[in-house]
Parts: sequence; structure tokens; C-alpha cells
Amino acid sequence: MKRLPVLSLKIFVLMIVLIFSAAMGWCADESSGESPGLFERIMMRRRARIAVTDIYAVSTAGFGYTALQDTRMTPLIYRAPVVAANIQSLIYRPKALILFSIPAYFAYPITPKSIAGEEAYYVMRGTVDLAYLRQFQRAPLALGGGVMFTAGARLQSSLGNSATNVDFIASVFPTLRWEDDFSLLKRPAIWHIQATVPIYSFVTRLPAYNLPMVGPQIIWAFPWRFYRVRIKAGISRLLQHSEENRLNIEYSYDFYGLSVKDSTHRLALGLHTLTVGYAMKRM
Amino acid sequence: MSLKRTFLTGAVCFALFACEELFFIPEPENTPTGIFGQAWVFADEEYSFFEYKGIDWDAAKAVYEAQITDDMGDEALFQVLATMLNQLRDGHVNLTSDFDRSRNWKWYLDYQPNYDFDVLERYYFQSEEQYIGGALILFDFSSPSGDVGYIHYRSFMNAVSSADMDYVIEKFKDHKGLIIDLRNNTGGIAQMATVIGNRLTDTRVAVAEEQFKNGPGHDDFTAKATRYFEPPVGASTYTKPIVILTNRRCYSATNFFVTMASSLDHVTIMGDKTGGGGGYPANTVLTNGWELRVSSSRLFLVDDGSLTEDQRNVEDGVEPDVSVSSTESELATGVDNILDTAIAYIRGL
Repeated sequence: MKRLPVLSLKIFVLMIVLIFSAAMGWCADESSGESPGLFERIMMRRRARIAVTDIYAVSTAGFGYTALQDTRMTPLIYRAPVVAANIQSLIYRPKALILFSIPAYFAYPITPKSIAGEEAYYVMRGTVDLAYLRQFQRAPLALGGGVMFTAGARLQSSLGNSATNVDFIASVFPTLRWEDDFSLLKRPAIWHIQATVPIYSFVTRLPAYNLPMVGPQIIWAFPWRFYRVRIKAGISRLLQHSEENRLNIEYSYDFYGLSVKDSTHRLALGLHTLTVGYAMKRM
Repeated sequence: MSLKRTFLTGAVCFALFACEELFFIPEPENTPTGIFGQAWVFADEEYSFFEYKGIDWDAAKAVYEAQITDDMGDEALFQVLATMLNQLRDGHVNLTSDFDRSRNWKWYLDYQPNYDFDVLERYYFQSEEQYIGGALILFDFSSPSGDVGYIHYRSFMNAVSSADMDYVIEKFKDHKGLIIDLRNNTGGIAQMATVIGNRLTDTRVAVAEEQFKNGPGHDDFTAKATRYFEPPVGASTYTKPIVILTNRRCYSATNFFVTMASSLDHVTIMGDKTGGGGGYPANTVLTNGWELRVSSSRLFLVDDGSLTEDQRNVEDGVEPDVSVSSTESELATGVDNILDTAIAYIRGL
């Protein structure tokens, strides 16, 4: 039987003494007032970073258009107007940008014919999106990556046991953002275009085939199995009587689909939204 | 960047990426040929009893496709599709248009009726019955002799609550036995089978096996999963003798319940063979708006080694333990022979 290596008592005592000494040294530094201690240094760094950081809380709402096809439910292509909302947090640092957004959409496609009197079709989707981007030197380009989680549901009541289709997607993605200043109606403004393509995704679809009792289908997918493109383009302009808060207008396109290699069924959904909102600089 | 350029960039983005429909599969054409193909493929990929019923679906296609022309009217197209779908001999296969609904009701129309609710109301209940929760009719056959409780569950479309079951069990707990009358119950909410069944056992019991279509091939099924009756924690249960009354109009969820309850030792199935319906239907909408559904799962009796897989398949119904019927002349004179036999059976235990 192998014996696990055991620290000798001498080494153990020595380590305790070293750790204790280091801790006492830091405390002495703090109490002497000659140089800042560890905690003070951390706080100083934090204050310095806050001084050069701009944080915007953005809330927007808008409308859009979607076209979708989920052949697991029907072979039809549905098109519908969309209502959208988005809550974002944008953290600008000297050379980095951290984006956190929660967009949500709702659509109500008109089904082709009312037979049973229960033809409601609801399409819902929500995403949680976190990205970190690093700016290229001097260029208005930033490159980064992040994770996003999307849950979508399509409910068509007339389809009985096949009425519900749900998917959950978690993706890792690289993202590219192009952002620069310009002047819009004599006020400073920023435009941006951002593109995101997941490189690896965890996709869960329920049901796996046609009935919910069959359970979920789980796919670990590279882009050729689960493909998704997200493009955002927008303008953020300082409000007329403010030096901090902004008006945001953003167009967003989000397309995702599953390759039919994974089943006989095609899921593809394109979504266009235009949202307008208020970006408030946090103090 | 100028304002003009900004908007131009936005417009280019929209034009470039507003092309999601390139990734869609073209919808089948809204022509008789397109609709026929779509209906045939849906049944081909989703239907679960081709092998069990020995149906050659390709042969059906050859026969009925030849009858399709693109200048035929909706009613003629509907008739061809309905006739083709009737080859599946399945009450869960329906094509619904705004002018008709195709159906196969041979599972009860080919048999003599042996039940009449009017007889129960006039000659047995005589206004002494109780209506519980909108789903159950209760009657007490204790008077003048014997101790027989009676529940009539007329449709699985009406939900039975846990409180309903509490009441039933409390009411009949001291009786010698209980009759659950499911005759002419054509099904509804399948989950009700478990809601009721869970209260008929005090231990976890395997009661059926089930499998679902998971691919387009006729043999693409999930592995068989065992279904159980399991008493809810802290809930009362009824484990005295139970007689379940069945006839040919017991279909779908009712057939599910009878299948599962037949595994319980204290349950006796009495009456006629159930009508069947052993698969959950899957639905779709065709390009012209017609709705189509076909059975897409299979239910089996528990495997005790005495039956083959096809014999355990309950698509065509569950045989009763005690076969009894009521003739039309008996019913005409106010005699429900199936019910009378069940009462005597429990009293004789």
C-alpha cells in the first residue's frame, strides 16, 4: 500500500511562523502610517480604477420582427411582430469594456387558420449575456469573449401533446465590437457595431422528438451543428441638457438554428429588434 | 463618421442579415400533392404501430397518391387522406378540417352497446347519487344488504383532485369493496390515471411499460420505461377489493388506467374488452391549416413472462378478468347486468 507524503513537524511549524510573520508585517505597515497596508493598497487601486471607469445602466424597449420555423411542431414558416426589452450594464475602462445584458422578446405569430378555436401561438425568448472586450491600441476596435444563456419557448395550443417546444442554450463566444465617437445634432455621440458568433454551445431541446414525455435532447455543438449570429448596431448620444446621461438606439439581429443532422427537424429563428432607451451614468 | 454614413452602415447590416429564411426548409406547397405528401410523411415518421398492425405504409402511399390531382377540391382531397389514414385503424388518428374530422370509431361501433347511463339514473341511483368535484358520481350500494361503494368516472377530460380522492376513500373505507365504473369513458387527461391509481396502492408498484417515438424510422423508439403507481406521502389509500367496469368505449386515457390498474392484485377488470388507444397522439398542422394527429407512443402491460410483446401491447384494448355483458333487452327493462354482476362479485368475496 502506498503511503501519502506527510509534512514533517519541523516544516509545518516553520510554515506557521512564516505566515504569522507576514501577517504581522502587513499589520505593522498599516498601523505605522509610513506606507499603505495591503487592504489600503487594494482600496486605493479600486478607487483609482473607479475614477477612470464609466458605468452606464441602460434600459430599453422596442419592437421588431421575427421569422421562425420549428418543423418539430409544423412545417410552416411563421412571421410575427415582436415586442422587446433589454436591460444592460456597460462598464467602460480605459482599455476594456464589460457588457452585461438581459434582452427578452415576445412574439405572437398569426396561425394560418382557426379550426379548433384554440390557435394561440406564443414565442418567447430571454438571454443573459456577459462579455469582456479588450480594446486594440488606438483603433476603435475591441475584441473579447463571453458567455450567454438563452431560453426560448414556443407554445401552440392547438397542437395538443405537441404544443410545447422549449430550448435552453449556453454558449461560449468570441465577440468583436467597433465603437467610435462622432457628433450627432451638435452633441457628442458614440456609434457601435458588435458581432458575436458562438464557438461552442450546450443545447437542450424539449421534447427530443415529438412528445414531451420523450424527454430532452442534449447536444454539445460546434457552430456547424448549432449556428448563431448576433449583430448589434447602435448610437448613444448625450442628452440635450446632460453631460452624463444618454439616449440609446440599437438595432439587433439574432439568428439561430439547429442543423438537421441532429434530427429530422429544423429549428431556425431570425429576430430583428429596434430598441430605444435611456442610458444612465452611475456615479 | 457622418450621420449619413452611420445610417448607411445600419441599412447594410439589416440587408445583410435579414436573410434568415435562406436557412428555412421550404414549406410544402399548399396544393393537393403537397398536402398529401406532408400528411403521409408525418404519419410515416410519427406513427407508432406500423409493425404491430402489419401496415405497409409505402403500399398505402402508392394506392392513394394515384388518386391525387392538383385540380381536385378540398373535400375530395380530405376524403382521400381520410381513407388513407383509416388504414392505420386507430382512433387516435384524426385529420381535422373546417368542414369535417376524419375518424376511425370501429373500436366500438363494430360491437353491441352494453351500457346505458339512463338505466343507472332511473333504476339504480334514483336521485340518491352524489356528484363530486364535477368529475365523479358516487353511490352507496350498501342498502339493503352488502357494503359496496360505487364511483362512476364518466370522462377523463374532467380532472380528479387529491381532495376528491380523499373524500371517496374516507366515504368507502369501511365498505367491503369498491366499483369504479369507467364504461363509455372515452379518455382525456392521461395524468388522471396516475392521480387515481396512486391512491389504490400502499406500496410502489410497477404497472406498465411505455416507449415513445424518437426518430423517423418505424422502429425508432426510446427504451421501455416502467410506469409506477406510488402512494403520495401521507395520503390515504384504498386497498380493499376493487372492480373496474369496462366496455368497448373505454379508450385512450381510460385504456391507460385500466392497463395500469390491472397490475394491482386487489383489482378485477369486469365487463367487456376496452376499446384500446395505447399511444399518445402527436399533432401537426398542414400547410392548408388542417390539423393531423397520429399515435406516437406505445403502452404495454407489465412483463410477467406469460405474454409476448405484441400480447402486452394494449393498442387494441385490455381483456377483462371477468367477461360480462348487458343485452339491449336487459337494459330496456332497467337491468344493468355488468353492474349487478360486479355488486354480487364483491358481496360474494
